[in-house]
Amino acid sequence: MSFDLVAESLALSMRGRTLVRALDMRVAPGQVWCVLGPNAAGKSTLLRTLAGLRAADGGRVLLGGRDIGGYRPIELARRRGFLPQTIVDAFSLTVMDAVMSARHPSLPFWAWGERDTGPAEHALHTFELESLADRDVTTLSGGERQRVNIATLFTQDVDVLLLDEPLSSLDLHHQMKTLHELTRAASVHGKAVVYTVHDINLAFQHATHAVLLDGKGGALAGLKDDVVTSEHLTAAFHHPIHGVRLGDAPFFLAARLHGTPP
Amino acid sequence: MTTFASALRLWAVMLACGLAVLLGSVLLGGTDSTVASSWQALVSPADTAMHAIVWELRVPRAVAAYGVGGLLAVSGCLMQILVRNPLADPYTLGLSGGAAVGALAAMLAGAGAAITAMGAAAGALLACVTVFVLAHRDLLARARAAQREDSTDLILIGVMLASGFGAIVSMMLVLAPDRNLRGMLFWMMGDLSGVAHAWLPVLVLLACVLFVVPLGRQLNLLMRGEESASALGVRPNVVKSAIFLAASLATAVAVTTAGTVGFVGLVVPHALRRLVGNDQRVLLPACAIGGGIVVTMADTISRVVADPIQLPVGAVMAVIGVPTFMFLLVRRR
Repeated sequence: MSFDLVAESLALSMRGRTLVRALDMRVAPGQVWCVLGPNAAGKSTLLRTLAGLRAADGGRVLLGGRDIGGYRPIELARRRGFLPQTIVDAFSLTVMDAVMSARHPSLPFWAWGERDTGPAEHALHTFELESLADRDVTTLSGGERQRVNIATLFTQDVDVLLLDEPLSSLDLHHQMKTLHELTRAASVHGKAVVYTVHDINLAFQHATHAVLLDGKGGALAGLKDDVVTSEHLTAAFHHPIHGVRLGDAPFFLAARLHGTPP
Repeated sequence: MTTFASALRLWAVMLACGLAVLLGSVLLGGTDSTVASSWQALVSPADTAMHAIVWELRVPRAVAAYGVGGLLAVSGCLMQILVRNPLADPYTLGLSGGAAVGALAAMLAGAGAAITAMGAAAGALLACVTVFVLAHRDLLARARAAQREDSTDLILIGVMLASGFGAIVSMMLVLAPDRNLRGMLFWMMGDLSGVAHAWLPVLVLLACVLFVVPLGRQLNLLMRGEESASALGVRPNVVKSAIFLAASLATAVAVTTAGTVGFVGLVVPHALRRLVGNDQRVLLPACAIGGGIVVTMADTISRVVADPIQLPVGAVMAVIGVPTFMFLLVRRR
């Protein structure tokens, strides 16, 4: 049985405003999808709908051939993981405890989970967080906290990973590291990855497929070469964006607005 | 990460301290009783006056104090998770205000202890139902509206309700005849003399702990936010309703038994978080045991130190507890 995540003529609206009229996409294992679009275009809403955290406003979302609304939350949590844009911790807890909390769906109801630290330690190692394991999450910097949250998602060990702005507040090295780990999870371990991002070039380098939303109902989905083109980007972002060739890869450059010389 | 074995060890050590404090509370009395004579009365079946004092006054009072303390600490810890706010305590949602209005109304009508307790229970229940009805969108919503992470409705409704009840209580105190005033003030500061059902708080405490500890992993997730919790398989509406009911029941029983004992519900969970970490599975039983220790100690001091005058237990607790907590707070890890 394949664990494809499928959107069928999916419609999204927020407070009476239509964000997406009809989106069809099929995310298969091994694929990495980036979601692009201007502010408030519905990127986060799309991700939350794909995660089954809100109902679709039209059409449907299927995971492994079953409507995502038909899953019990705990079943769903064993198959797909979701990284919210922000996690605000009101209380102190250690990095290890935060990361270990993602083992909840995999543990039996009565289990304490103390012997199940393998995935957590592996994720901490992957994201260079071992030295912070005993630190209080509320004392970490924004970027460190984001890495903890990504490590938490990896600890959940699921087939489908949905990440809402995983790169926010990360430095350049950790942006590349995170994207590397996401593409590796897809290509080596057969996971399916969908993430939202603002940097078109980073996204283009680290994706097989793309979704482009314009926030007015229009949505393009497909192979990245078909979706991420300078014409589509210019239309979606209402800003002239030119494609240039850098070596043999395309590079997208937003035009400077008039009258603002550096 | 705290392992189950180390959690068991911690609880065992705390429980041993708790039993020691209970024993101490039973053995210590006013100037006219010695520890030796109290011990004699405790272990021998002889039908003496001291035997009656120990078994019919001190033991029920100590047990009730322990139960009340545990209930308030557990309830405070649950409320803090429920509204995701470290400042929450068992009284945040207006339960104590409702109980106070009920109890003081009964006292004003000249009712005895039993009716006063029933008045407190009815008031607490009324406050609890009001909060639940007004905040049901917050508590029961299956899908959260976008970008609404915090339980602001719930805490605002609770705080408003508490202010409303506070106003009614002030009016009652002003209107009350002088002979009732002392009893009313004592009730509001926490009063453990004349406890009717000494074992009820301990039994409810046990039931609450057995009910919430299996939810511990889900509470750990909920504490970090509803969106990430529901992505990890928690049903926030179900768990929040469950802890709301458990916390309300715990507070109602505590308030009905001893009046509004402040401080313990806010400070014990925070102090223990600093000492044992923030894993709710470890913390909740620790709160149950630790809260009992604190209130039993404070109650013993309150009845021994100025004998024959009894001090209000809530005030004693705050006088000792505030500097202790400040010390814990300043001495940051």
